[in-house]
Amino acid sequence: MLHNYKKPVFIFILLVGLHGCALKLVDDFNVATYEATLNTSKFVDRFYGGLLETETNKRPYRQYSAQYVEIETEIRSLYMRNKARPLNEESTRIIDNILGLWLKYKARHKLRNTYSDGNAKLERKRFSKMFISALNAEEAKKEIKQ
Amino acid sequence: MGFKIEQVLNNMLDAASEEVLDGWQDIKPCVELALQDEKDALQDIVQAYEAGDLTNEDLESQLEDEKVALETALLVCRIKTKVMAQNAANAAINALTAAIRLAI
Repeated sequence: MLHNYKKPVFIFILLVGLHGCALKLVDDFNVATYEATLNTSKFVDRFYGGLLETETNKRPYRQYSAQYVEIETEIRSLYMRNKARPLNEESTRIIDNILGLWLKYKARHKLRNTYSDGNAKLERKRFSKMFISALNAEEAKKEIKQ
Repeated sequence: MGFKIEQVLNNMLDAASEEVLDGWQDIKPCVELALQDEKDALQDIVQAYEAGDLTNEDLESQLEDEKVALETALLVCRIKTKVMAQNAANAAINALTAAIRLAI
């Protein structure tokens, strides 16, 4: 049993402890990351828009290499932005998946020195879907109750 | 005022359950949407292959990449599950804190 004088101290410590005792599993919503994701998805979509507007036999790698580098930098920056946040493994993994596919398609374009319509249409749609996942992942963090 | 542990536990459970029920209504459609999107993507790949727009090598590569896309879509559902768990645990802690405040 607690002595009478100890009881208020105990309750005070318990309340202070509980007050600061909020469980945290996911980082909060970050508007800057949301905007950066939206912008990067726009760059990728514009890349495919331009590519599909060009005739199939006029798509040599060198014509697109500057855009590949620019977009790769954007995606890497997005990766770093996510990686730097604590409790943010899923969002980081999503961007890592996007980066992996971007590098894969870049390497194939370089190797074949062309990009077929069939691949471009499917890959444009896939990136669009994956960026929507990245945006939805960030948006889901708005549901965190403080 | 006394501290009735059974009542407090029930309140904590109620608060957490409410959050879990709210969260689950979000998570189930998330998984369903991911699977529906995957079905559409696979149909697109098959159509492109049948139309002669993809080589055999391309077809294999496209199918492989869809695994990555599906994993990506399901990661969103995992975040929603974590948010639900976080809200439920904190609702229970808040119920306990409120009960202690009332008891003193």
